Amino acid sequence: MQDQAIAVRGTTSLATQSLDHDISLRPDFALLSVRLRPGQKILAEPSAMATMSPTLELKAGMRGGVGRSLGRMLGGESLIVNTFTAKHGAGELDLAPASPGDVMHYRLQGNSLMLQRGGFLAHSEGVELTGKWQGAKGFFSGEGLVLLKASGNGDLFFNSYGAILEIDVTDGYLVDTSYVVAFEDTLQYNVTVLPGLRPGSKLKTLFFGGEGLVCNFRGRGKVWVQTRTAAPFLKWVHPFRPVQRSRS
Amino acid sequence: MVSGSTFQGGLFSDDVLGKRAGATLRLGAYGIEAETLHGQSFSLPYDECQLEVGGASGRMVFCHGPHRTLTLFCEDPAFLPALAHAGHGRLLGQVTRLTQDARRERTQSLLRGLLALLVLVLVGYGAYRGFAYATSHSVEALPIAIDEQVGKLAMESMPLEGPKVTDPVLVQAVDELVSRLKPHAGGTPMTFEVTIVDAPIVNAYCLPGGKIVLFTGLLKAAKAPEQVAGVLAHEMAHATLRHGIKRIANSLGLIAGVNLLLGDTSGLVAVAVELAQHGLLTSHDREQETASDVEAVRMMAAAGLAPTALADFFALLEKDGAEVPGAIAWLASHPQLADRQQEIRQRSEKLGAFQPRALTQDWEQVSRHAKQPGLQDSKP
Repeated sequence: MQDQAIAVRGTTSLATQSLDHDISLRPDFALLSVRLRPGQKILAEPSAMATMSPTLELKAGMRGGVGRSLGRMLGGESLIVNTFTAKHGAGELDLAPASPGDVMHYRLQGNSLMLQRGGFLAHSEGVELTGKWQGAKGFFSGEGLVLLKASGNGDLFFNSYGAILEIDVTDGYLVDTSYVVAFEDTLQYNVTVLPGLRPGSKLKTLFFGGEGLVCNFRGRGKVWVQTRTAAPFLKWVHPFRPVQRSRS
Repeated sequence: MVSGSTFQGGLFSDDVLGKRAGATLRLGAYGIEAETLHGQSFSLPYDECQLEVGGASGRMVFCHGPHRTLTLFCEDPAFLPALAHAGHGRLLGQVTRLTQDARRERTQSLLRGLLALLVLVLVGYGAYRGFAYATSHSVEALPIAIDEQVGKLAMESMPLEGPKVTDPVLVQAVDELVSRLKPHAGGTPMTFEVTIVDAPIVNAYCLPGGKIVLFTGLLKAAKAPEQVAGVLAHEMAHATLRHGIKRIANSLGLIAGVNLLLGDTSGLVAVAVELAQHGLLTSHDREQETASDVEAVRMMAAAGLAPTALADFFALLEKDGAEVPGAIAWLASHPQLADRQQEIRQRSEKLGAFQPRALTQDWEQVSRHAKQPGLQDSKP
C-alpha cells in the first residue's frame, strides 16, 4: 500500500511508448494530466476531457471493431472511444473521471488487468480494451455479467468511486464484489457468499446482514479496492432528497 | 514442440522492482529461462518446477520455484503442451495431471451450464403454461354477455365476403338445423345467430357469443343436410367452448390476465376488433379445432343426427378439394383433415347407437337455392 495523499508522478521508464503523466488532487477528485509528445496518442472514455492544448486532435470512433466495442459496452463503457493525438506538436490534456474518486495508473507488460464496470478512464496505444464474459460468476455478483479486460503493452488509467487501496494478494483474499475496482489476471477468483458460515447464517447475512457476495481471490496478484461504493451512498442520501409534490 | 521456444508471459520475484514484471519465457534444455523487459534474467530448472493452473481466465499456467521465491506465468495455450516436451519430458507427469484436471473441470462446467439452461427452459415453459391456464380459466369466469358484446363489435368491423342471403328456403333450412342442435349445446345458453352470405367460399366461421357466418359455397358443396349440421355444430362448439375469447386473452398477454381477473374488459374488446379485422379471431389452433370436433360429435348424436356426417364432409373436401371452388378456404383454416376424420369416426363409434330423427327439409331444393339464392321454384 502506498501513501495516497501525495501526487504520483509517472516516470518514463520505457522511453518508447510510456506516457508522461501526473495524477493530482488525489484521492477525492483526482485529475489525470498527460503531456503528449508529438505524434503520441491517448485513448479516453467520452466526456472525460476537461482541458486540452490546441495542438491535440480529437477523433471519436469505435475502436477494435464491432465485437470489441460491444464487449466494452456490455462492460459498462461507451461504444465510442475518443482518441487524442498530438498532431500539431506536443500538448497537454487533463482527463477527469465521472465520479468523485481516485485515478490509478497501471503499466501493462503483456499481461492483462480485469476492470470492474465503468472503471476505465484512459489508455495509451498498445493496450486493447474489451469485455470479458463472466458467466454465472458475473450474474450472481450483481455487478454485471461482463468485466472489462485491458491487455497488451502500455499505460492504463482507471478510476474509482472513493479512494483506491492497492492490495498485493499473495495467497487468498476476500473482497465484497461492489468494492472491487480492478485486479491482475494472475489472480483466480470466484464469487461466493461469505465462506465459513452455516447455511442458515449464510442466508441471514445475504438478505439482512448486507454483507452478501464476496470475490474470493486465490493465487498471486494485485487487487485494487475502492473505499466507497455508490449504491450505499445513494441510500444514505435518499431520505434528504427534496420531494416535489404534485399540484393537482 | 522443441526446447528453445519463446513465450510472452511474466514473473513474480522479490528481486524485481514491484515484485512482478512482464517477461519473455524461453524453454531451454534444463529449465525455463525468463528475461524481463528491463533485461533482468531468471531461470527455473525443470526438476524444481511446480506447475499450477489458475488466473482470472482459469487457463494461466504458473511455474513455481522452490519456496515460491520465483514464479513464472504464461497464458499462451501452447505453453503447457510445450512444457510437456521440454527437458526430455521431465514435466510430462505434472502436465498430464493438469490437462486431465482441466478437462474434468470443463466437462463439469459444461454439465452445470446445460443443467442451468434446462432449468431455465423448464421454468420458462412452466410459466407459459401456467399463464395460459390462468387466462383460460379467468375467461371461464367472465359472463357470457362479454362474448356477445365482443362478437357484436367484431361482426360490425369484419368485412362480409358477399351479400346477406334472405332466401326463406335457405334461412328456414339452416334454422331447422340450428334449432335441432341448440338444445344440446353445452355450457351457458346463448343465442345462436346464423348469417348466410352469398359467396363461393366453402367455409363457415363463428364469432364469440354465437354469431355464425355460413357461406352459400358450403351449402353447395355439402351432399346432405347432416353435413351442414355437422359444420354448424362444430362452429357452435367454438362459441360454447369460448375459443374466440380465449384466443383474444392469449393475444393480449399478461395484461389481459390481470385485467380479466379484475373484470376490466375494455382491452379485450379492442383486441377483438383488431383480430377480427385481420381474420385472426376466427382461426383457431389445433387443440381448439379438435375440442370443437369432439363437442360437435356429442351434439349431433344428442340431436339425432349422424355424427359421422362431419367426417363425411371433410372426406368430400379432401377428395374433391381441387374441384370444389373455394374449398381452399376451409382447408387453410382447418388443417389436418385426415386426422380429424379419424378422430370423429372413433368418437362416434364410442358414443354407440343413437336414435336418428329425420330432418324435414327438402335438400334438393336447398341445394338449388344455394346455387341461386332467391330462386323462384316452378312447383312449390
